[in-house]
Amino acid sequence: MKKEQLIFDERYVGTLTATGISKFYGENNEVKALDGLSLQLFTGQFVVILGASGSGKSTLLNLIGGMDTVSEGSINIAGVDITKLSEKMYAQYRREVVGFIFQFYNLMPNLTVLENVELSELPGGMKAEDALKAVGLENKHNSFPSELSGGEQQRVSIARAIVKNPTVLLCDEPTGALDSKTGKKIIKLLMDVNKNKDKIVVVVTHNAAIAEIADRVIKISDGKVISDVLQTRPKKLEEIDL
Amino acid sequence: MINKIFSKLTVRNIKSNIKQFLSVIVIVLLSTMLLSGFITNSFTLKKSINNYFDKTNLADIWAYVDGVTDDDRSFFENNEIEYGERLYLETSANITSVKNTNNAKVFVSDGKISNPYVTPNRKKGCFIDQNVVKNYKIPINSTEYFKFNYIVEQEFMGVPIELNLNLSFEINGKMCFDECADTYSTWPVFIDEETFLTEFNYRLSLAIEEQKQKYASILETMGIEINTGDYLLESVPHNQILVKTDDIEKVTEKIENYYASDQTSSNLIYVHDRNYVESVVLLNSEIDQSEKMIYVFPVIFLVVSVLVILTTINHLVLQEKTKIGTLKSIGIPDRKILRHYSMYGAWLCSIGSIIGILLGVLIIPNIMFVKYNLVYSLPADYIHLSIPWYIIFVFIGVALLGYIVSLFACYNILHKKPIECLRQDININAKNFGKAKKSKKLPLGIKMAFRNIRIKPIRTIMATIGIMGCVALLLCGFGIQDTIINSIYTDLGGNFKYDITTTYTSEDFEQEIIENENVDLAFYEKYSKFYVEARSDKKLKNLNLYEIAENSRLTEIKIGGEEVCISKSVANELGVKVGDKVTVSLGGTNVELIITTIKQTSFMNGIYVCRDLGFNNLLGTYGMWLKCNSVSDDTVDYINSVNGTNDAYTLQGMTDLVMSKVSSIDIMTNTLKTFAILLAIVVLMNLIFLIMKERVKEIATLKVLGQGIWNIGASVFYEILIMTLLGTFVGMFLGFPLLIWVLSINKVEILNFIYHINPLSFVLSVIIILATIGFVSLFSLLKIKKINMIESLKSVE
Repeated sequence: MKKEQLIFDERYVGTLTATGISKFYGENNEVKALDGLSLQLFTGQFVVILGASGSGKSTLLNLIGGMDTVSEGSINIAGVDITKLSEKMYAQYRREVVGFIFQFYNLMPNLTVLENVELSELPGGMKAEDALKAVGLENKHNSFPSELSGGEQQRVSIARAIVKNPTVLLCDEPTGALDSKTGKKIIKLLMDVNKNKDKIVVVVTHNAAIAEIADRVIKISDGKVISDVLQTRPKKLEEIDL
Repeated sequence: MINKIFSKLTVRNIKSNIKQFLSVIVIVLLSTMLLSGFITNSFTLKKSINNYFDKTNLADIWAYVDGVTDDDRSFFENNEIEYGERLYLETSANITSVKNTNNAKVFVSDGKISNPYVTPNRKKGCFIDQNVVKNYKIPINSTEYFKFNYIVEQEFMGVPIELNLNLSFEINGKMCFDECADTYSTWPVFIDEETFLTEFNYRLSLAIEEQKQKYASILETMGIEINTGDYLLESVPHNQILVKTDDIEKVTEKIENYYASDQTSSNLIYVHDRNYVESVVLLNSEIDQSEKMIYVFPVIFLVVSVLVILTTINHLVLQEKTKIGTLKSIGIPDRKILRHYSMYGAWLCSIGSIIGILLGVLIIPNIMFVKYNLVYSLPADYIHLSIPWYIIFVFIGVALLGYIVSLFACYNILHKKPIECLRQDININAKNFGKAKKSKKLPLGIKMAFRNIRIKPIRTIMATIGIMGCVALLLCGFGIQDTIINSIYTDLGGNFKYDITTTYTSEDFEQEIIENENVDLAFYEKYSKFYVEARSDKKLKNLNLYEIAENSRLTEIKIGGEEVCISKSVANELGVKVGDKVTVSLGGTNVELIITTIKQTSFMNGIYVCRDLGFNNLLGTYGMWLKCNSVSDDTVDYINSVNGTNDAYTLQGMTDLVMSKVSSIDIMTNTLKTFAILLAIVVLMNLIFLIMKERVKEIATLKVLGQGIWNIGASVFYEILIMTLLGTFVGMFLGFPLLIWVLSINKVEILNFIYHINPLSFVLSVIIILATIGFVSLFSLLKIKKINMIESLKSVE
């Protein structure tokens, strides 16, 4: 039997296109989380998706991240329509293409810091030790998550996401559980991750202050894009107050 | 209002924990099914057997005499002893349509005491055991006749002559006879006195007429006129007296004293009570065993049930910690909360026990009665399912147990302060994981499994104990079979190496066997068997005494001269060792023996001597062990057809016979193994549900990180595997003690168990448990697949 493989088209690498995506919930699809939303994201962009609670921003993130499937529409990454992937291919997509950062970190409590990052290591890719060094946790390899502060845990989460060198880095309220100072450090890290401009970094938040430093701000309401602004002169991190 | 809310909470919690609760219900169901099933079986069996004994008016005392006299009758009447009489014959017989002759036990009774249960119900006629009727498909009241020879000594013209009467009786019904309920190879036949006398006198008159014709000229010359009617019997010549009494000991003593008096001293052969009637003893031992069964397996299952309830409720309470904190913080009393959570156990146990009791009383006695009907000839009409009223205590007891166990499971957390309950346990204390090692050799899944086991010691212990119980039960099940086979082969083929064994009644038998071409005989040894009373300084026991050949070539019991060998089990029961004295008594003869050897035997237990101890020949059984140059079924068939033979068996035939006699244990072993596997499935499933619930967020995270189902499943599998291996390891050591315990409770008369578990049984037990893990793990993969990443990662808890 031929092994299924995820093959990207080199010509479209760096482009994520969502076309008319909808997500319905409920027995009769009475709840519309996303309603025919379309957008296109490019590598190098630091995108902030803003929206109130229940606007559909997390649903969009979940669909892009391959954690959920669309009810209608398509999501195309590097020439591959991920909405048509099998479950196995979805897992491969999440493993190789997407990096996730959650509000509550979602670290494995029974694995050490290093082991948590090793979970996402890909053969021939970045080493877990290097990822931890990049987030400044080279001295915490053998600590368990419960021995770390919230900020440190989120940094482990970032290391875990970047160790696979993902094409898309999806961050769901990454500073939501952190104080302002630590939150800034985390945003700094996320911005540094993309200094080579080789990733699409998407941050979902309801915190408008973060939007001020983004390259692009997409506002969502009732499952639709209500504004999509490219900021030619985003503020510097030091200028904002989270 | 609070109660109403609690009711709603209960319903919702049941819905969200339905699978774990189902595990509890199933395990409780299995326990109560066994418990109530064995209780009902024991109750039904006891009631049925006692009812059977009552209805047939089974005797309490049997006196074997040379002939019942009027003096004897006067003795019983004067002493107001309820008695009956009968003629008991052991003879060779045949049935019209049955090719071979067979041994038969013929009872000709006055119908007062010890009557058979006859179908169709009638009192007069010739009745034959229902199993014989069934095996040979004998039609009732047709042309089928039961035939045997009866030799009468008559004085004819002052000269004693033997008249061989060919008695023939129409078969009028099938019967069950409690004195012969365990009979396999002999035909129990019951004939009423009138039918017997009619046939007897008819055949006798024919024989006398024949004699008259034969000696007609002499009679005429001598002028003697013989009246045939003078020779006919007015009553049946009884040789047994049956007594009904409440005071067996006292009446037995009276009878013995009476027969010990000068006038009647030679008349009594033997007197015994029900404890010496093998069939009655076996039926009573079945009742004993059925009672003991109640305390063996159900107890093991109940222990595992307790562990499963404890784990499940404890998990539920931990899961509900914040809810409990909230309830406490809004002022709901602790006792109400405690009662609410404790009631889960009570409810689950109640549901499980109701279903278990219903299934148990309907299924288990019926399975057991299939066995009893296979092993014994019992009347179907007397076996009615009787459910004891106290079965309700099983329900109450199990529900109460569930309540108490739940109370215990949630006691700790419910005694915490509200704030302690409300505090989130997002981060597990890293100290519990121990020091992280830098070793990269172990896969992450195994590391996670070990750490999870470390932080959940109680759950680990519970799961380990559950698996341990399953392995021990499985090993015990296999071990029982191994023990039986080992025990049988210790004697048959081990201690005894004959090709054919047979007992005989005719003195001509030996010569006939030696001379016959059908038996390719190499050599043979004769033996005698007596059922004697043996006394040591400490104890008294009735046992078999074998008089065997000196330095026997066909047994491993090599004794000569005055040497005496005793079976190990018998020596233990009598409390004797080499050099000790044992006195054996039979029919008034006492012999003192000094033990010179102790031998491990299983089936042929008793005392072995190689000299004639001088017991009355009438009291023994005589047999031969044959070593043949070649053996076939025809050889055995031939020996069985020789007049005066009882049962001839090849070594394999005897092995099969013993196996069939203990076949009832097969049901026990198969039940044990089935329930052990079910138990393993329930324990492991429950464990999977718990692990899945606890680790749902971790699993969802692993899925988000792109880990495949098999990878994630492996980490769960390792956790279960480690606990299972731990439980299996301990269970291996417990299997043998459990086997000894179970078999010591379920002792059988026929076989002395020599405990043994084959290495293959260990391997099979491990394979079965591992296969069960494999099956359960596959199920866990389905569960992992179903875990919704978004939903699972949504909340903190």
